[in-house]
Amino acid sequence: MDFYYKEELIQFLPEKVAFLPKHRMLVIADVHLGKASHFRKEGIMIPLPEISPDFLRLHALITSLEPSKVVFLGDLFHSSLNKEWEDLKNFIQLFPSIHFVLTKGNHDILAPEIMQETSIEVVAELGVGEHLLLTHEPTNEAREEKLTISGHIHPGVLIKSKGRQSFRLPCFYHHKQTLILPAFGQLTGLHLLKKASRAKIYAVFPEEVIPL
Amino acid sequence: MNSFADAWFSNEGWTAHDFQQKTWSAMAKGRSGLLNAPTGYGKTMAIWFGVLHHYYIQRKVKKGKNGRKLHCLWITPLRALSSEIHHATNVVSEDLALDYEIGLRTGDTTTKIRQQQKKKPPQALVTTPESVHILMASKGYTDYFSELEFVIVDEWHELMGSKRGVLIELALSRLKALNPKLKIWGISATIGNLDEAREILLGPSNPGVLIKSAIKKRIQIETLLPDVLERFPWGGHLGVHMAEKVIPIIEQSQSTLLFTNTRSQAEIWYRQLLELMPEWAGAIALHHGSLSNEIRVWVEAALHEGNLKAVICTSSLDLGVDFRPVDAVVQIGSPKGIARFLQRAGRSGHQPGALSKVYFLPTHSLEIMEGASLKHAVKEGMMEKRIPYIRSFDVLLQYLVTLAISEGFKAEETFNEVKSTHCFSSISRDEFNECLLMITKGGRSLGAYDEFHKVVAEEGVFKVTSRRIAHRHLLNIGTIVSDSMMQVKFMSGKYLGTIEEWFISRLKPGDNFWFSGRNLELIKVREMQALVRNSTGKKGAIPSWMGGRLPLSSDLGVALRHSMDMVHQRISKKDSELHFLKPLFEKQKELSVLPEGGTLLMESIQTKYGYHLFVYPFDGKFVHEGMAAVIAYRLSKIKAATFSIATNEYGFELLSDSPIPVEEALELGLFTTEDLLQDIRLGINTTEMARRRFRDIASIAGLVFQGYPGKPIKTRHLQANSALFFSVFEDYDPGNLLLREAYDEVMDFQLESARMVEAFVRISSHAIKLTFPSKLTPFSFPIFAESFRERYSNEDWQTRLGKLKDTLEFK
Repeated sequence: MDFYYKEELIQFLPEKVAFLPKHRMLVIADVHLGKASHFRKEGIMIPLPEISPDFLRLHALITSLEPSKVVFLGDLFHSSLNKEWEDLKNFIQLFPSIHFVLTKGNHDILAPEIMQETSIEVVAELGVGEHLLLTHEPTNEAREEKLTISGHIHPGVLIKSKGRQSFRLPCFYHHKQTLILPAFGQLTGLHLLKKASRAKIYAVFPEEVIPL
Repeated sequence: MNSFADAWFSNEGWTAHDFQQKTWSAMAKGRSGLLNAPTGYGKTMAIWFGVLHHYYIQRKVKKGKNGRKLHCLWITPLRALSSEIHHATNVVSEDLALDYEIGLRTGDTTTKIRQQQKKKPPQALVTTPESVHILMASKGYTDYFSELEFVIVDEWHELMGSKRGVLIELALSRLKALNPKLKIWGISATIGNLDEAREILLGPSNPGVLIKSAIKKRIQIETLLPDVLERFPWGGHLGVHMAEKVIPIIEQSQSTLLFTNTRSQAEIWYRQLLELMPEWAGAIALHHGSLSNEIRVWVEAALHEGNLKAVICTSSLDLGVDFRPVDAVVQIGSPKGIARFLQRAGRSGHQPGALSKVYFLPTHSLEIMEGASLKHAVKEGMMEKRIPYIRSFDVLLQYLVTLAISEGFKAEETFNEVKSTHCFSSISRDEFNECLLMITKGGRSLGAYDEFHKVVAEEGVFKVTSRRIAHRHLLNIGTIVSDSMMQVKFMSGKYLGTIEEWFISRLKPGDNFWFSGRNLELIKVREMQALVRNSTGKKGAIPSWMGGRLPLSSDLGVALRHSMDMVHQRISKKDSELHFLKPLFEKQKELSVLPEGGTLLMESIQTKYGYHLFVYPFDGKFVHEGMAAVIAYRLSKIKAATFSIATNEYGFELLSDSPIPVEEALELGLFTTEDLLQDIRLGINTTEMARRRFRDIASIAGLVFQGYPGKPIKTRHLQANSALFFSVFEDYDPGNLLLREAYDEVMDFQLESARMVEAFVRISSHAIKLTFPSKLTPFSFPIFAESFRERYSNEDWQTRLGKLKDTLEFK
């Protein structure tokens, strides 16, 4: 699904990420790595493979899209340091030519010196081209006609169809100068959004993204 | 025979019933057993004097031994019933000046009293299944229960058909191990499988006795008929158009209980009655499970004192406690089962020998027939069975952690105890080991998760070492699973009750809704609380609670088919229901034929909505849903098509946009029992059903932490959506026991596959009568009407998504 903001092309992919072909940039929101470990520490079992399947999906995406830059829109880690941190370091090392950036989110509570162990650059926000601004949390104030691309919300939409069937799907949400990406991590829930007037919702189906 | 009973009964001026004598004598011989007697005839005393007798005989023998220990555990399903038993047994101790103390321990008991009960146990403790498990989760429980002689399980028929029954089975397996001479007594209302009930409670190795009272309760059933007969009935009315018919009943009676099947229906009826009789404000009340405990206790007390003319209630008043002033009962809408109907009928005329008077108020014309069926069933003494849960691994996991919290457990020993229960008699060592892996390593398939330490094995003893995990587990014991519930409160803080979150989420501040018989305005939602104020408005949404949908029992189905047969004979005026329905039957005959025993009626009708196929097995809604899906699947094998399905208690409808090849399908064996189970699996989207079932399972097994009822959790980050867990299990551990349990429960309880197979077997011997009416018939119309509310296709999830997408793209 191609989405244009001014002359910037933003592709919404069913893998719940956005791709900016002009900048060869892959944008990913809310991975929440380490959530499984976090659950397990609390005595809640969750039968995920030891290597989080999120890495596999990320790996497949990077190999097929060949981006030069990967931006995580915050909440890369769910909580404090754990095993998945080592996995992430190893993962990043697989792609020495890619520039990884993290726009810091509320769950990213790792100390700066630990973040420095990887090549991930941590920023508060990231401007892209003339018209785009990448941050973790959506902001209400519009800045210089820029489109803010953010995560944090885990947007979802409830689609009702005939006969009481309803489907909860993750979605991309565009309203005025705000674009919110769906959460990438497998262990993330959905926050059902009420559609503001004139907002556009792009629902993520298994094979493609479709505007509603 | 029983000196205590003799003294007490003669003081009261009563003579003991036969069943009481028998029970005392069996208990004196040290036997276990199950007692079946109607309410209001002294069941409690039949057991209680046996307990007292044993205690004082034994004390003579053991004279000199110091240190009092718990002697008797009395388990009931309801707090209200617990207090009642506590009160009644205390009266005996007082009257006879005995030093036999009885304690009460439920969710309401204060910590202080609990500690006292722990330190210096009373001789008997009246409690709930969950509280017994909480006791077993505390250190020193083996000592605490070491001299326990009796466990009494009250209303066992009620507990047996639920997972709380599994809690009891497991607790008993442990208590029996602590004292092999433990005597177990159950008290049960009449159910179709009393012998099985006894065997499950006592265990297969303990024969025990079954004592049945010969007392028959007299019961009089009257169906309230509407003034005019609707020949094309429309289900889903709540019966309020009949409200005027109950006013004289309420007026003539001292106190009337009006039973509805859902809470929303109770709210609507309450409002309707007040609208008709405004002067009754204050004299009638509402009682259902979502109202605050305070309100319910008040209503119950007022009923006892005879201060209320009528109470509109749900199953919340089905059980237990006697309200003597109640002398009339009205059942609004189908009771769906014979046992439930009788239980409710028994709420009136509680005095021994009194007549139980019950009025049946049908909510639409076809339901009138159920009045006739109920009378027939009662006359013939038909009664449903209670189906016990088996292989409930979620409850087992919870139990294992419970034991690990207190004194720890050894695998071999606990395996043998668990395997001795009915629920887990088929558990294999491998399955048990898988349960152990789930609590020690966080799962079996994927090796060790080094961060998982819920339960650890130290020298062969499984223990919980983390205080935090122990604490959370205690809160989780006995979580009664329901949708996320929100508290409804006034700004002042006064608590009114709980309501499902999804209902509130549809309202905006300023909107009105009816709850607890009041019209309320939503002010705001704060965390898990909905703050409201009284409103004077007349309009408002009525909340509907999920889970109000009960299936028709198979026995009532049998009775219903019997009534259908009766229709073909001469209907006398005495059969008031069938006589009243005559014009409807005539119309049905004119347009099609009347269903009759030994045949299956099918109607193929074309309307502007498409091609309908109506089938009438009279087997209840749940069975019909499953059957319809199987039939749709079989039809689509002949010719690819999509059907929408609608069902009611009497039959089901398949609707397609192209002609349905019925005749061809019948020749090929549409109702054959061959490959039936396979067709059930292929035809029904069991994944979706299992996903919903898994919610309860995940929460009982401790995967989803729900917090305590009324105390919303603070640890929101731990609250994972059970649907998420379900997908993860499906993807990465498809053989997981909990996941399999979800599918088994779908087959056993939701689809009632055993009943479904039975229905197919029955039908395969029937002659099929296929008619082609020119328009909808009195029997098909109500199903057709259902389809407007409930319509789903039989395709699987993925293609449904695809189809949904197509319609979206089409726009």
